[in-house]
Amino acid sequence: MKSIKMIVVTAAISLFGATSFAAAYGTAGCGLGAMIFKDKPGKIQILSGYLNMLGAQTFAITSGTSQCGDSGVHSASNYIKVNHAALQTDIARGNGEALAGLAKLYNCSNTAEFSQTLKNNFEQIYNGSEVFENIQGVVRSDNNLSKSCSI
Amino acid sequence: MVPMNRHHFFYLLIFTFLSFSPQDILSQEAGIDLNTALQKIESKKLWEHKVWLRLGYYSKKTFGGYESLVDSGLFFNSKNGKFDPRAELINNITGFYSSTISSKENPNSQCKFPARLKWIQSEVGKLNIPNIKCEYQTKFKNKIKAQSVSIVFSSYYMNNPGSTFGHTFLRFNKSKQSEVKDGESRNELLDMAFSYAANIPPNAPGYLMLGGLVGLLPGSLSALPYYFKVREYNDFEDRDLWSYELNLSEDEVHQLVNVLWELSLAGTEYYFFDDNCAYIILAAIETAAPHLNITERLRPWVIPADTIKVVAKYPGLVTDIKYRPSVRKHLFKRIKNLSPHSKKIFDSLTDDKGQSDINIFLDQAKSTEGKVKILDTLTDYISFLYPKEVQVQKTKSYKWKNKVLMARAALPVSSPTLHIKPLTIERPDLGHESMRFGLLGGQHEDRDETIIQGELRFAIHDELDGELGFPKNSQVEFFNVKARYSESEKFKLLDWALLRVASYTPQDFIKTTSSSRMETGIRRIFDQNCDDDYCVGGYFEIGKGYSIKPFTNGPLVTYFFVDFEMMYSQEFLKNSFRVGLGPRAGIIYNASRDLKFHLNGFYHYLPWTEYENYSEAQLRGRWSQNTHLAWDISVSHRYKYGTEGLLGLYVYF
Repeated sequence: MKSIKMIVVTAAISLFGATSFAAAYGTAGCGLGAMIFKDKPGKIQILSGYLNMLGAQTFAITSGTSQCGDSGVHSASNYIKVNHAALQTDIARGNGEALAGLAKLYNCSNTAEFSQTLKNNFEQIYNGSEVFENIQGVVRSDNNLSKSCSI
Repeated sequence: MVPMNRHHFFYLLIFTFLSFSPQDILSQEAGIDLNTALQKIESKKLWEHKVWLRLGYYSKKTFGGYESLVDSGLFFNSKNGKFDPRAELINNITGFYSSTISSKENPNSQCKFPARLKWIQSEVGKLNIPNIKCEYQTKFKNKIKAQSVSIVFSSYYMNNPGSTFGHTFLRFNKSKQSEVKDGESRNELLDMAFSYAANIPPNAPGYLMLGGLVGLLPGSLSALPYYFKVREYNDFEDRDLWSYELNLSEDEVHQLVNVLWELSLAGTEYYFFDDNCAYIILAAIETAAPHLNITERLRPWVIPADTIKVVAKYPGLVTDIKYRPSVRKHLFKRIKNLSPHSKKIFDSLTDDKGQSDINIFLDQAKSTEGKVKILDTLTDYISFLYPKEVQVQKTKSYKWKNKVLMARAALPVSSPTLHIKPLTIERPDLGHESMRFGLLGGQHEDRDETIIQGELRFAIHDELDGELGFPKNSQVEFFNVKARYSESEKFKLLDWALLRVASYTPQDFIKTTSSSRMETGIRRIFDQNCDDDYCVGGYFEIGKGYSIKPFTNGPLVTYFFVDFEMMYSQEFLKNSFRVGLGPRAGIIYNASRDLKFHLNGFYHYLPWTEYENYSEAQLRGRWSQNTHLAWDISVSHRYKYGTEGLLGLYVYF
C-alpha cells in the first residue's frame, strides 16, 4: 500500500512539480520519468518518491500546475501511465470511464469510434512496448481518428 | 522531523516567481489610489471584518488579540501578520500597489494573494493598481476550469491507522451534475482534486496518527487530477468514494480556487483532530462563500465523517450526492450478474489461474454475451486480487490479465456500462454522531452491590453501534473513558482507551482478509497479581486473526485471534512490567442493522508473574433506537473477580 501511495505521490510530483524541483535537486522534466519499477511485484519503488516525500506535496500547487502537463501530449502520457490497468481493461471492453477520459483528453469528437478503434487494435497497443506511443500510433494512423481527435 | 520543508519551499517560491518580470505590467486603469484605499479600510475597520479574518485564518485568542492558524511567514505580507490582522491588511493593500518586482524575496502581491485582492476590491472599490500579468495563477485557474465543487469522502480504511477515520478532500468539477443529461454521468477523472494532509515519511504509517495527534507533522495542500485519487482509493485500497456537490455560485467557486492558491503557499501544522484535512477544507469553503458559517458547527476537534455530516445537514448546501464504488463492489456486482452456467465457467477459469488456453473454457458458454460477462468478471477478479501486480508487466498476474483481455478484445462487442446502485446504508452522512455518552447501572453478583458506570467516547464507532453509515463489524474508537461508582470501590476510573481499533472482516472466499485489533491507553484491571486486587497502568494490546461467516449471507460472524498484551503498573506484586499472550475468540450476531450481540472471551498467559493465568468473557447486546439513542445490556465474568451485569443507555451527540 505504501508503495502504491508513492506512485501516486511521485506521479504527482512529476506531473506538477518536476521542473520546480530542478532548482532543488537538479533533475528536470515532466512525466513519470522518475518512476522506477523494480522487478519484484508489490515492491514498486519510486526513487524520487523517497527523495521528495517530505514536503514534496507542498509545492504541487504553487510550482506545479504551471510547469508541465499543460499540453495534451504530456497530460495524455501521464494519464495513460497512471490509469494503466484501468485503461487496459477498458480498451479490451471497448467501453469504460478511463477510456472515455482519454477520448476527452484527446478532444475526440466521437468517443464511441475512438473506443472501438482502440479495442480493435488491443493486441498492437499491448504488445509489450510503450503503451503511450502505441496508442498515439493507432490514433494517428487511423483515417477517422486522426481527424476527429487532436493529438 | 521534517527539516527540508520550509527551507526548500523558500527556494521553490523564488523559482516560481522568478519568471515574473516588469514587462508584465501592461497598463494602469482607473480606480482609487493607495491613500484613499487606506482611509477606507481605517474608517470601515475592515481588518475586523469576518471575511478578512477568514482569509487569514485568524481566530480570537483567549486573552485578547488574534492568531492565525497558518504558521508560514510566506502566507503573510507583514512580519507580525500571524498575530496582527490590521497590519497584514495594510501591508497587503500597499503590496497591491507595488509595480516593481524588485527582488526574489518579494513577488508581486497581486499574484500571491488573488482572493484577498478580490475581496478588498469588493469592499472598498476598484484599486488603481498596476495591471500585473499573473501567468502561473492564470494557468492554474485554466487547468482547474471549475464549474462546481464537491467534497469527497473516502470510506474508512482499516489497514492503515491514519486512515481509519476516512479522509475528505475537494474536487473541482469541470461540469455541474445538474447540466449533465439524464442517464449520463460526467467524466470526473480529469477534474482536479485538492487534498490537505500531513506530509508523512513513507515508511511510517502509524506515525501519521501519533505525529499528527500532537501536531508534529506539517500539513500541506496538493492538487492532483481526480484519476490519481480514484486509482489510489477505489482500486488500490478498495475504498468507496462519496461526493457531495456543493451549492456555490460560479463566483464563489472561482474565489475558492483563489483561496486554495493562497493557502498552498503555506503549511499549517497538522493536528489530527483539529487543523486537519477536514477542518481546512471547510474553512476554505466558507472563506470563499462568506454567507456560509460551517466551521462554527464543528467541534474543536474534527474527524472527516463529522465534516460530511455538517455539510450534508447544512440547509441547501448539498445539491447532489454521488457514489463511486470500489473495485470489490464492481466484482461482486458482476458475479451476481452471472448465470449459474456462466458462474461455473468463471469458477473453473479462476481455478486454472491462466495456465490453459482461455478459449477451451469459453467455448462452453452459450452466447457471446455470456462470454463477455465471464471475461469481464474475470478481469475484475484479477484486478481486485492483485491491484499492484497488474501494474507491472513482468508479473504473473499481469500476464494472466493480459491473456484474458486479449480474448475479450477479440469478441466483437462492447461491454455495457456497469451500474451499481449507491448503498445508502453506507452513506457516511447518515451515521450516528461520533461522540457518545453512556450511563449504565448494574449489579456485581459476588459482592452483591450496585454499580453505576459513566462513559464518554470522543469518536467514533464500535461493532455494536447502529451500522448505518459505518463499516460493518468494525470498531474505531478514540478517547473512550469509563468511570464507575460502587460502595466498596467508591468512585474510580475504570478504563481510558486512547485508541481502540478492531476489524472483524469475514472472509468472502475470494480474498483472504485478516482481522486485527489494537488498543492502547490506561486502565484499571482486576487481577490477583495486583496489590489490593486491582492495579492501574498503561497498556498496549494487539491481536491478529481471521473472521468467517459460518453461514454464507447469514447474520453471524465468528472470529479467532492471537492476542498479545503489554502493561505497566507500579501496583503489580512482582515486576512493574508484564506481557501476556493467548487466544481470543468471539461471535458477533448482527440481528439487524440496529440490533447486535457480541459474545467474546480471551485467555492470557502471563509469564514471570505470580498468577500466570487470566481470562475474561462477556456477552453484550445493543439496540439502537435511532441515530441518537441506543440501549445496552451486558454480562461479564472476570477470572477470580466475579460476574457483573450492566444495563443502560448511550446517547450519540
